Amino acid sequence: MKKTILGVLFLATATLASCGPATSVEESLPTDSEGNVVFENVAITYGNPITGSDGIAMRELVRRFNQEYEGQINVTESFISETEYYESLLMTIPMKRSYDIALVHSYKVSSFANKNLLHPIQSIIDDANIDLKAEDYISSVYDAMYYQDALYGIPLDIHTIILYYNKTLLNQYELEVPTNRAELIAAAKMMPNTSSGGYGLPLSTTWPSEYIYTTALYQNGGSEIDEEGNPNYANAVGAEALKMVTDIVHTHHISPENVSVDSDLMLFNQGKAMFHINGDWMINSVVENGVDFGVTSLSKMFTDDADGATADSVAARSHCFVLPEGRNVAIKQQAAMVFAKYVTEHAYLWAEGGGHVPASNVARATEEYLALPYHHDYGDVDDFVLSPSSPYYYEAFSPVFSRVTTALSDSGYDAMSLLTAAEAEGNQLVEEAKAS
Amino acid sequence: MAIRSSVRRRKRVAFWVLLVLSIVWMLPLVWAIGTSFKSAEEITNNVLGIIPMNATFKNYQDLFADVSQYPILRWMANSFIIASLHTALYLVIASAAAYAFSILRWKYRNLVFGILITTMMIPSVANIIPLFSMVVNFGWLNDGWRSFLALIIPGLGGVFGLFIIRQFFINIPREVVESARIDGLSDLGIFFRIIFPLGKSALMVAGLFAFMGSWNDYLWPSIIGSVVMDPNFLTLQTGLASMQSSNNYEYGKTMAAAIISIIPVIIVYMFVQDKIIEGVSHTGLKG
Amino acid sequence: MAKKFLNPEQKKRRYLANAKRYAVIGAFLLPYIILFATFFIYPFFYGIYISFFRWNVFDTASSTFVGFENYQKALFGIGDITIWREYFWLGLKNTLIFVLISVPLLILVPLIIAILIDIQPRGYKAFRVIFFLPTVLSISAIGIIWKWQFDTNNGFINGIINLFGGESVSWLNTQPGAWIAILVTTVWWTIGTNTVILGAGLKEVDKQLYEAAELDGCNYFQVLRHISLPAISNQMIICTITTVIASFNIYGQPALLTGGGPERSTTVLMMFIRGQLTGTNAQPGLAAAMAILMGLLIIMVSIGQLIYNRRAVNR
Repeated sequence: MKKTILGVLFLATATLASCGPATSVEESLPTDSEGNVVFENVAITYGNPITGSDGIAMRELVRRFNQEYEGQINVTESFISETEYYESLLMTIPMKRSYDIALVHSYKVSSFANKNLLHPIQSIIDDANIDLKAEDYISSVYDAMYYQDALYGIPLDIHTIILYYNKTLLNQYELEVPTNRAELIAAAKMMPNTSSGGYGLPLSTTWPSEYIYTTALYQNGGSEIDEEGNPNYANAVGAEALKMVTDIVHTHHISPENVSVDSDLMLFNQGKAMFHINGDWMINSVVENGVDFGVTSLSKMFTDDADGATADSVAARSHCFVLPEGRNVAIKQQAAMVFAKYVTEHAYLWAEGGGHVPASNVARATEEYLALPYHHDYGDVDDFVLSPSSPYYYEAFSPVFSRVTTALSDSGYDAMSLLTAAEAEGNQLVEEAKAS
Repeated sequence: MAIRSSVRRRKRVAFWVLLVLSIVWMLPLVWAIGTSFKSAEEITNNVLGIIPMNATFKNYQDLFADVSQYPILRWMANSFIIASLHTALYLVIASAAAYAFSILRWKYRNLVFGILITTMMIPSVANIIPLFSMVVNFGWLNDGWRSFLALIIPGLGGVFGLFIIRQFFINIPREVVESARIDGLSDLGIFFRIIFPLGKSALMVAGLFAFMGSWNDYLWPSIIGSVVMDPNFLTLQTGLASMQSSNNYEYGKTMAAAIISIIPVIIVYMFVQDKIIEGVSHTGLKG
Repeated sequence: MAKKFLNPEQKKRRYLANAKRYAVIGAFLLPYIILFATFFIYPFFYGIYISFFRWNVFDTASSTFVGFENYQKALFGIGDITIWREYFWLGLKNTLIFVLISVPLLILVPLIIAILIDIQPRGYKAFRVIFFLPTVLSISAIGIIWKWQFDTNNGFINGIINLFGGESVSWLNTQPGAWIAILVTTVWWTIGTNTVILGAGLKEVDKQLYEAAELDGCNYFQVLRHISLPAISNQMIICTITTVIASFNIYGQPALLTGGGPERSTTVLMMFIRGQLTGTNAQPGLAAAMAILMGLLIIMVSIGQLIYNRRAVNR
């Protein structure tokens, strides 16, 4: 396998080298007779915020890479929980002591690139003649890796929220898998919706309400920010989207009130919930608990207008590899890109262990991926919508999250006042961010 | 006689009230220990049980298996190293300074000490931000081991322990020092041969407080820890807190970690509680 | 002895002896003084300095001077930018709420326990050890344990409530449950110190005074009110002042138990300050300004308490 990859590299570079100028690698980089970069005991550090069950898959990917590239490239992985991870990155990158390669969420790429925290990667890929190109990845995800026309990342996956359903309960009530909101709510209402009898669709007030609200916003034709990057949700569409989410608790009563984080997951795992909304990354946790379940897409589930142009959209995010600015040692950066290519193309492991959908077309075409039981029910990859690329996306949109939680906790909420307050805060955070 | 029986009655009432209160007080701790041995199923279905019906080590096994993310033994070792170094350094530096403020004679001695004491009133909240900036610019956050410096050194100027030790030194009878001087001992000699050995109990109390303060410190180490990316260099408290922040809240492991972190403390406490309580009592009486 | 004139040889010896003496004093004193000055005095002034800048921790030279802007932002807001004002006053309000609800309990409960222990029933020393134990534990472990206690589904507290037929309360996600949870945890954790201090004060009181009073026909409560309490007034003052300061500085309990929720109703000022220190768009200068304002408030409150108590004692 090692020889095959090298062989492919030789062939690719041989053809490229013959029609281009002499290799543009720096003089200090060791090359072989054909001008390809030779990696000899290059050690790189890799950081990511992947813990939990998808963490196991990530560790395995690193292990396999190190095995295959033994003597050439060795990757040392560090992982810490998400909030600390991003805080660390923001502090260690300016100190020039961050990782050689890092895994970040796609919506952070613009923000980090804007602050000069990331190193553009196109020239590195070209210099090392690594076969990494846009055509090999889902286009919407690859596009999100650009900031001001420079490429900053290689996408690993796209991940989204899905509808988990309990097969036993559906059979018990002789129901079909719902395909739109009306069917979903009707089905959920068949459950007794009491703490002893079980609920139709318990919804936690805190997580993943971010994803759910964003999905509702998209499905009703809205978006988080406008073209200038300012918040754009304190309007009728935003309020409608909020209602679509909170009605599940307050109006249809298919969820108990005040469900804390993961309590809804626990209910589903114990077989006491007919439906559950969570990320695809929870899939193995559900498998472990032995519930007879299936998954389906959340398209059309948060809008009453099932035929609307955007009714199929589901909010998604993506993990991608980026190069933190630092000492910028060329050979390490190139080794990092080799690592990124390897992991993204072997991402069926990531899909299996983490529940995500690989961004690499190569990975999605592999036998191993096609054999996975649940992934093909997630829905159409083209319906997964990433957040708009803007350096101030998070500042503009994040104030809404706590308000969604408020709305989910309090049936007497006033949508416009919550959303207006969130937008005002978002505007200020954007303004402050631009000034710093 | 009437008084004696009322005193006896009072003691009996106090005893029972205190007994009930202490059971209530220890209940959360005992329940937490018991719960850490419960399986996931019992955690949900046998909420009230203090002793699990099917006790299992699974939570602890899972925790130790997850060493790369939650290296709890390493955290404890880190905290131990940091607290020990801090305490040892502090005792040396503070007892030397206490000696200078009590036995040695020099002009302005009491004035300087008075200023030191008044600074105790200044809230430390405002110091955290400049300290952070200083520590970053000293280069102490550039790697894991150096971050220990940021946890050991800034507290070495603490006034509390100095106060306790000096208080003790001041109470050493003049004659002891005088006769030592007559015997020809220099200031240096008096310190090492006479004062330091005599002050053992005060040093022990100050040392206990310094150690506890360092071991239990939360806010400052968590700020330092967020810059140090490697979980292997976190202190115990920061590590424990990091277990709660992920979205995958792993109940069993987190509870097991909490219990592991407090068992050694409770054991040591049983041996030194009289010293600690005595130390606290004295601070109350001196004020 | 009359002052003699010294010859140069004697002067030199006297000078050397003094120099040596001061060198020794210096050796003993300087390490501490240097550390104290570097890590307590200097940061105090440096913090004030930082508060006048838009501070960049990693590239301090690039920090821009903004005068009182940080203070303005925190206290009044500037133009459109009112979030810092909201954060500051909300944080302050939450901190004050906590101070007001916690301090009375944190004095009263230790007082009662100290009195009970002072009666010296059987095993009183063991009881004291038990009540002091939580104080030596760390807030991280306690946060984990008590967060679990108050868990809506699997917590011990709701378990007991359910046992008696009541409904589970969502302690950490709703008010006033959140404050109650923080309060209970704080009381459990911290009363040890005050109990011991007050107990030490009570111990010093001459018990013969009690006997004399009871012979005169007083019951125990009257004894407590007229003899014990006044006798420990110093300890009470110390406890009150230190407890107030500690409550102002609260950080760990809300951060670990409720994360500042629900809807930021338990986000105390310390948490907002900490939040501005690091992270995207961090503004350490603003954090420093808020911290200094908070520090000023604490000093004023403490001095106020001292003055009040001095007057009360002198009456």
